[in-house]
Amino acid sequence: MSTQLKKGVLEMVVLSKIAEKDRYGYDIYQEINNFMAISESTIYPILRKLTKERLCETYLRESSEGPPRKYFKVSRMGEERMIELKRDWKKFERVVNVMIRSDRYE
Amino acid sequence: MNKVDFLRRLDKELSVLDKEERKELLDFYEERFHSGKIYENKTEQEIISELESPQMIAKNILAEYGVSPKFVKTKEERYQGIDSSNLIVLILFDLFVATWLIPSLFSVAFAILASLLSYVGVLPLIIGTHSQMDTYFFFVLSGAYFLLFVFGLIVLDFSIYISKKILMWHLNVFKFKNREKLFKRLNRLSIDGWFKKHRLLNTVKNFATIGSFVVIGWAGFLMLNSDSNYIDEMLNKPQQTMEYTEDLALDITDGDIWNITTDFENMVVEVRTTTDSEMKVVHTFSTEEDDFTILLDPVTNTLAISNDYENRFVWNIKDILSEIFNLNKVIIYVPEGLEVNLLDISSANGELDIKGIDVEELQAITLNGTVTIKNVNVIENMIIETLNGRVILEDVTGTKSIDVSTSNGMIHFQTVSFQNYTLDTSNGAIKLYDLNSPTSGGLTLNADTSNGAIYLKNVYIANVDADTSNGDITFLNDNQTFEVDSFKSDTSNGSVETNVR
Repeated sequence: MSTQLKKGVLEMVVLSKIAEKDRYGYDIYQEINNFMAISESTIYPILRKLTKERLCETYLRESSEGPPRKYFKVSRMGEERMIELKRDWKKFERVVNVMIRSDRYE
Repeated sequence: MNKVDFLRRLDKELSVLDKEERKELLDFYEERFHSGKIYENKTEQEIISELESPQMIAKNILAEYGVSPKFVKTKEERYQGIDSSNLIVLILFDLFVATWLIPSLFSVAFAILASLLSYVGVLPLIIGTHSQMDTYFFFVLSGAYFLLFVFGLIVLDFSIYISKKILMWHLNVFKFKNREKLFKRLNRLSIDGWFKKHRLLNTVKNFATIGSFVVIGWAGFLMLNSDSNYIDEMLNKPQQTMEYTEDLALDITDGDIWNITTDFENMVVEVRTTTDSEMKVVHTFSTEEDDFTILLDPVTNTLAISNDYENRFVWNIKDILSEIFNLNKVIIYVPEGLEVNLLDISSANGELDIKGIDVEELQAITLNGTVTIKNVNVIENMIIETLNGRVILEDVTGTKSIDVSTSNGMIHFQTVSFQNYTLDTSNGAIKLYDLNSPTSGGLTLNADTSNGAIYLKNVYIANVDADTSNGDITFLNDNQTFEVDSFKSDTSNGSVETNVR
């Protein structure tokens, strides 16, 4: 899959993963990496950015075996943004589909 | 490479980001190591091999932040290789040398060039009627002024050169980009370089410099070999002398008490005693009227002299020189037997010299000049003040107190006897020899100088307080039987030596 394409949607994908349930950084990476190969190092700045924009919040959760992990939880603003993004994505998908199925109009 | 190395490398690669941001990102990787170790049972090495290299990670991260890795590199390069020891030397140099060196060089250069304005004073020599000698003198001075001008340019050029070198050094230490180009430009910046560019002017300057030497030599030779003693005449303008006398034989026998006060603006004053019964004032002056007024009144028993020296604007070099070399002078002769209550001598500019007189009370005040007092007996108090000059006392006695203050000059006493001494100078040593005697000591001595040593030899005073900000304090008495009640010494920067108990 083209990295350029991935780059454009990664922020939305990360946010939707957090919206699913509270997750920690490595978990998010693995979740996404199962579907599309991404570089771990691109995830962290995105998480940082989302936190800064208050689309998600962080908290520490103790784990039984190791040190506490930093969990990400979607905020109200994040949920609203998610709805917005999904709507945009559907529109975008449709438009792109229309444009790339050029054979129809030939 | 282990975890710590990895994180350290990453931290370095991300140095362009601010501290908080960097910490957040490093935390992720820290956590990542923990997760791998604990939940997946991997070693640090395995986790590192899973991850990208710190350089790659940093590149990706910085790209997310919109920072071009290219830019980061140049920024790194800029500070790369700045030798910290060089930097320290440079900062020390800036603090302790450059701060005074550059301003003082330039101020010397500009002071020299500004002093050329006084050339205006040379012109009157050849304006209007003038003698052959005036013309020679004009040539000598003109030559000298031109040489001074050339010298001023050399000093200015030197100042520019030093400043340039210091600036280049800075640029080198900080590895300033494109400094080579700037150096080329800087190198061209100089007075000498300017003259080299303007060939004609340079030739004129060189010829004029040689010409100045020739003219000074030639005109000077003519001046020195002519019969008239032109320079002598100029430096010692014919002086006029006025004498005012009053016979006070009757006052002496009656025991009348006199007051003598002076209030001069510009006068050297001498007070002497005479075996005559006549009070005499001799006024010597070279320049025109200085509004000299004298009151020698046997009715009120007052001698009051003053002058009001008008500060004329003199722009003739001959007058300037003669005013510098010929100060007006007053000598007051006081009959030996005359009783004097107050001797109050003050002059704004001039030395004061008082010898061999007995008075009730003495004040000597001058703004600019040395005060010398010898063989004087005072019954009451003595006050001496000068702003810029020394104070010298020899064989002076008084029964009460003496107050001496000078802002710039030393205080020197030899064989003096008072009860209370207050001596104060801002800049100069205090040297006291043979004050009072072991059998009849004084009460208090306060000696205070901001800059200079305090030297006390055979000072028989009960309470001594010596204070200097910069200098040694010495207090030595030959006669050890005299006991000092208290000796306080305070020096910020010097040693204290004493043998008194």
